Amino acid sequence: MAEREGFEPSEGVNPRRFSRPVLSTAQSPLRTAGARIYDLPGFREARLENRELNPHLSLKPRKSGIMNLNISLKRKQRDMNRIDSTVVRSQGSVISTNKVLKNTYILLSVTLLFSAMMAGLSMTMAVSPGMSMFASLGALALIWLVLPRTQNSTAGIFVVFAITGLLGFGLGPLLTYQLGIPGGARIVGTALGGTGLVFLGLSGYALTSKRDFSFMGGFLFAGLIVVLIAAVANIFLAIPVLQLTISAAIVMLMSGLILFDTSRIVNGGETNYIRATVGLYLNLYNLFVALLHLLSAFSGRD
Amino acid sequence: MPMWSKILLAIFLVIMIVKLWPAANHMMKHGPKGSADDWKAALIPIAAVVGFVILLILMVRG
Repeated sequence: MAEREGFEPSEGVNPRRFSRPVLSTAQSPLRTAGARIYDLPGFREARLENRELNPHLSLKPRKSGIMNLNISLKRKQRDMNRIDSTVVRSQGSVISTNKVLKNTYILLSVTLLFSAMMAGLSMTMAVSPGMSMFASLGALALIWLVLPRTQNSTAGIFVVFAITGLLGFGLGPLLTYQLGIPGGARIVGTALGGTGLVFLGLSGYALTSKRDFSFMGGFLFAGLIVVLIAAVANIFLAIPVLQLTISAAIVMLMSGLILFDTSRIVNGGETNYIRATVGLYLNLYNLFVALLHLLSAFSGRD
Repeated sequence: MPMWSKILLAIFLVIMIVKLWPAANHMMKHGPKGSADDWKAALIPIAAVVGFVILLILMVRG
């Protein structure tokens, strides 16, 4: 009767028989490199047998209904080797991704500080709006023409500083104007703090959820094109409501791009930290400028 | 803003549109498609950002 299925479950939670001698001391979980695959994306479904299943014993097939694990030593060794080699590859890619992430955020922090310094310098020098426009357009030219050629070398870091410095320099007249109106310092401070919080929140979400937001790429780029077309039209039409709509759309698009860019780094789609830094910086820059415009317009002091 | 600077700015924006267009076209045709859950996971934080911006606007108005 004990050999037929019936009161015994066909798949036991604990596949060992009670008569089998249990190891007298509690064995530590199998802490090889393989154990860390639980933490790796894509390998969460992998199952590791712990040491309680003594690898030196070969479990003989039993005719009872209890599920038995007839794993020979050789098969188990083969499985472990496969897991180890896979883990070594996955571990390598995780280390590489973490390195890109670390370098990106370090370079982003330093370039943001540099950009802020250049903005302060621009305000001190009382740079004209025309000069600031040339600085911003110069930064764009560097992004299009120079960065693609230097992003894989050390020179790329200097190019990133040049880009962020020029864009920061270009912010001078805007900040001077905003700080000149009553309550302007509060508006600029709120925009700065709001930008930081939005970036931290969205980046934290993308990093912790580890979701792949690459599906948003088409939608975001299409949205950017629509906004750019509206911006070109509004340069000549100068409709205030349209400008506010453009700023609101930029806030949403930049938020989406922060998720998109961060998830690309996390999931290994972006491996160049210089390019990643410029992408995130542009998202932050555009978000700040759009937010500043919205806050200034709705504060009633503009 | 003088007219020449408006024209210069417009030219740069058009160049940006021309550069982005192929990439946007390619991504829309061949890019990965998200499921309803994926879109929910993306739109909820963006909606939270919109709410946060509204809060900031109310703060500066007050």
